[in-house]
Amino acid sequence: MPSQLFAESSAAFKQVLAAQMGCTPADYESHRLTVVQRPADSREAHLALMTTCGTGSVVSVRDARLADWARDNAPATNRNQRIFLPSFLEGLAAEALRSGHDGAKSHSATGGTVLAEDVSMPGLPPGIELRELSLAEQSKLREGGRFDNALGEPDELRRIAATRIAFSACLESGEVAAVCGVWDQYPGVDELGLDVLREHRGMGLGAALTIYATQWIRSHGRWPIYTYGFTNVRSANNALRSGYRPRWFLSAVFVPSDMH
Amino acid sequence: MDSAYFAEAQRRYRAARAVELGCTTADFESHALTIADRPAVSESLFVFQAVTFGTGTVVSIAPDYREWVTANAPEMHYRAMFPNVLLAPLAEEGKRRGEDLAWRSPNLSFIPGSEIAAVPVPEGLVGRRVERDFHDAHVESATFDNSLGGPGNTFVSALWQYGFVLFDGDTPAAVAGAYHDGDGLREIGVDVAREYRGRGLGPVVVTNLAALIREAGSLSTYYCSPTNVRSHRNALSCGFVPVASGVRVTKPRI
Repeated sequence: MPSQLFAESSAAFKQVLAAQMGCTPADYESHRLTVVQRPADSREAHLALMTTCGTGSVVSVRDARLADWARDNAPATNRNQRIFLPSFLEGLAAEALRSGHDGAKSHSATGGTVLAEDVSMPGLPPGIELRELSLAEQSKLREGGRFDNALGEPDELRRIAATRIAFSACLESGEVAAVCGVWDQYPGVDELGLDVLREHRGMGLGAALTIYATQWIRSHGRWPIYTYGFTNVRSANNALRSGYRPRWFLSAVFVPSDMH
Repeated sequence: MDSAYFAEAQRRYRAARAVELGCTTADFESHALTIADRPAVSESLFVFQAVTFGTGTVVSIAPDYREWVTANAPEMHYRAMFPNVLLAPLAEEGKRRGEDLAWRSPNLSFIPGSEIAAVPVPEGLVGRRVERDFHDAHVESATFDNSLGGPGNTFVSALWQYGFVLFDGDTPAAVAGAYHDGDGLREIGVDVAREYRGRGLGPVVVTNLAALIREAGSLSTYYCSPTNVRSHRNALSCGFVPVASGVRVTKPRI
């Protein structure tokens, strides 16, 4: 049965997501498709975002012409989740190109989870230390390109500016084996990003860092979220091990240069 | 999660998928894209199938399209799963060749994380195993298309094995059906009639059917679209764990 924490996390996140998209939380419970204009103060830079919490689906657009296209091409009411099919996403991307959004394309689908359980910190393997990374260390590791999920790519300036903290799992030698970054995704909501170097996987470092960062976020009175690409089964299972449960699903049409 | 149970379940699941795809289980751990020739045993199942366990992706492809897939394979293995990278373009390629190919939305694959315990049947309802006569009597109603298959779909109907149903008097309130899903695997499909939703009946029929499947010496599998967040959570609450993601291109009516 869903936990009290899951219910609270879900309600808080749904409220924030709806505000960012420009819809109401009830739209996600509606069993139909809702098409809305993105509010000017939304932090989301995507041209169009398709989201669902499992029942109703929402298309949120920055350009009203895309809303018209979405309404004209909306799937049947009881098939509202067909907006996540490439036939809809590619059609919307093509409409964005026709509307002058050069370079518009669709993004692969992302699953999102919220916290359902406060998991205790597991024991760490011998010699492993978790510690906060300084800004200089973050910058150096970012340039190395092996911790993109945790720290962002060097040209992701918006994402880097939103970083609140980053933690590493270090070996006795000082080598960084894994990094978990935390950034201010939405008002009151922090997102985690994680990378464990392949040669150090299977030691439980991913879950340890995720739980550690989750506790840090909670101690600051904010809600943590954890997302992953739909094919990334290992990341999905790390989320489950760390106390998270699926809450929403998202696809996007975007112009890459808008995202930096 | 019971590690030993899960490891054995994972081994069985991977072995069955490797047979279906025409690859080795080691290919699932390669951190690379493996393109395999579709084995004869899968000829009726798909034209193209891609599966990843998160540590490498295997694409199994019909001989006519092998060259096309090889030429269009993405550099990053998991991108073979993205609908706009291979699936939709392959369907277009089929159209150019005069073949009607349809690609399916991606799915998530689950297996039990430990031995699944049957959730007790709620008071006022009766739960029991059902056989082919139940399937045949209800499949045309289209009320239980996840658990019984869609009306007129003879392919899916042939895969259906048995089920577990919660009855409210003579009325089926919730149905779970077991489908053949490869050697020693039985896929669970579930439906709760609209007027009985919100009462927690999904996990009751799923876990009771999982227990029947286990007693028969088979392994339960469960699939859902990643957009179906509620089904995903239902799987987790029943004790299933996500292990793989898959996509298919098929000929119509498969």
